Amino acid sequence: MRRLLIALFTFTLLATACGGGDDTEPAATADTTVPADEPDTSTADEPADEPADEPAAVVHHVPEDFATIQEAVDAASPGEMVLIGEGIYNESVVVETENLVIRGVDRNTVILDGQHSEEMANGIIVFANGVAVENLTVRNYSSNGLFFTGDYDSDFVLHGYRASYITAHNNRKYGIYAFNAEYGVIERSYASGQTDSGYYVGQCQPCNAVLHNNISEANTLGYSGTNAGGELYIVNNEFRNNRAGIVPNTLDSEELAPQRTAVFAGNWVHGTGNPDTPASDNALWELMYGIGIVLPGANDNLVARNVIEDNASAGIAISWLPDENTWIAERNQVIGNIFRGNPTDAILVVLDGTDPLGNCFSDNELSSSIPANIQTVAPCDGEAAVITDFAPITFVTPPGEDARLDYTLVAAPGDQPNMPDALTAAPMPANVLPAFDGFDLDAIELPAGA
Amino acid sequence: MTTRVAFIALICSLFAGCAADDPVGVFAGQRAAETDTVVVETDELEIDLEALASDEPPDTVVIPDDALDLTGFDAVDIDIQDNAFVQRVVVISEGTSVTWTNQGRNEHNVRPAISEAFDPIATEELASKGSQATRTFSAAGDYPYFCSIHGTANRGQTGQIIVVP
Repeated sequence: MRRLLIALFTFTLLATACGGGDDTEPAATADTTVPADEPDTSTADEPADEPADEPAAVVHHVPEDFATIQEAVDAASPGEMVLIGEGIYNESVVVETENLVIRGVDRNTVILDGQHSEEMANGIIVFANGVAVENLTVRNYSSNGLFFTGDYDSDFVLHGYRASYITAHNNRKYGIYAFNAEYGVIERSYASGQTDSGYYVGQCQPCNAVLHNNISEANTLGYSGTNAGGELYIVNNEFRNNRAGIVPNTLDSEELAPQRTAVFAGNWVHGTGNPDTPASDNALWELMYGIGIVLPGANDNLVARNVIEDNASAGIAISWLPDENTWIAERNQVIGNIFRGNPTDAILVVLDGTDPLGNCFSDNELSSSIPANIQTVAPCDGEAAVITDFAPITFVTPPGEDARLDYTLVAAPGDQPNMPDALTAAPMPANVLPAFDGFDLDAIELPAGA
Repeated sequence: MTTRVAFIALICSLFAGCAADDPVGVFAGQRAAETDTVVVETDELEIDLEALASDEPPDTVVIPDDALDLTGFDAVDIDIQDNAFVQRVVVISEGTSVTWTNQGRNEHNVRPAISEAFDPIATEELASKGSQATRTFSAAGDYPYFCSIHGTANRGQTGQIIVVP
């Protein structure tokens, strides 16, 4: 019952954010206003009431009020919205104003296009707290589609960000990228054709972030999370036909190593090991080709209730990682997943080959593992044994460099679902933060599409 | 014309335990949402408005406290991580060669924040881990720079080279 109420609460918030109306009509009036949302103070069991006499939020229309998105963003004040009309915008937008909402009237026809130009590295780069970007497409950028970032070596860690109903495709590096940023939501988005990852969360601890109901397809990595963890939830997403699927990892090239304490639950990970994907110049990722979930040098993660199937090399692999330092993988829990159709369902590679180092497997439906009988050798609810089985591991070989697909040639996706009521929904900046108290694993359901 | 400007940083939304939205519907608890607004006043800064307006470097360069003194060397190195210049502010002597090395796994570049202050380093020169590029600074002055992928002239991945006689 409580789960139902929480779901209802969530729906109420989204409905309040999205309002009602017809999103098929073009924006025709400049300087219009829509009701402004206020931070919701209700509890889970008490859906929010409509605020009375709320002030109207200022909306800046592109191209009616401003010819470019950048001009509109620069003119907007905190709490206001930039509403972008249909069109292709060859811009690289920089956002330095807090608590803005940047929204397209139609996700599929409001397109920021970088034309693969070196002069347009990012579709939208956000340096300010509380910015939400909604309902548009970012494509063909020479680095990243949508990028939320703090300043690396100052005291500024970005607090509050949200990407909703974003399509990010054929960007050279990352589709949607959060770096040195906390308190974030990436949701209901689609990413394909990136040479690194569709979604990337890097250098945050705790991240206080959730990625949910996203699709990642035909990227080098479906998800990458270097040195990112702590209240970080990757739940209810679909990762399909990437070179490698979900890859939280530890690297020396960013601060806050090692990666630790993230949750990967309710995801559908399938078709990994797709040769028709762009490959990264980073040879490290090629080692993971064909593996659904990889935890290289990762620690204290929970992998639960995922469906992991039809991956070319393996379902899941936990391994140490050599970088400038050698990063071991410890205390990861793999519980209640369904593995099927993988050459090997689960692989555990520990540094000295004998001690599971607290990595454990329980209640999974799996038929093969290295070491054999992995749920007996390294159970989550019992004492681990010494690993004596050193069976060789065989992975599918990725295509050679000559056969790698240019990221610009990955097929563009079809139309993706629009944000409801994009024309009339009240702007809701990302200063209302996601709550992460008491993660309820029992509330995670196996992926519906699997 | 030099004007003293009180630099006031308005830090909105310092989130003291504030949270409201359970975006997935799997979290048992909900904390009350609250947003604090805090005004922080920092030290006053000297800003040369004429120099800013003319896009020329100011006559007087203030060396930050965190600057790394590398004067007296013919060549110095700056490492690049993801996404930062590790030796962010360095002071060097005239004629010193500076070599940037990409130690990260992302692509980077080096662009002067003051246009044409020095030859920019293109992304393809610093595209992969271990790649290097060098520039020599012959004239005294202030050379702020940035990576255009992960920053702007004054935000994100920025650096500064101060050349002294």
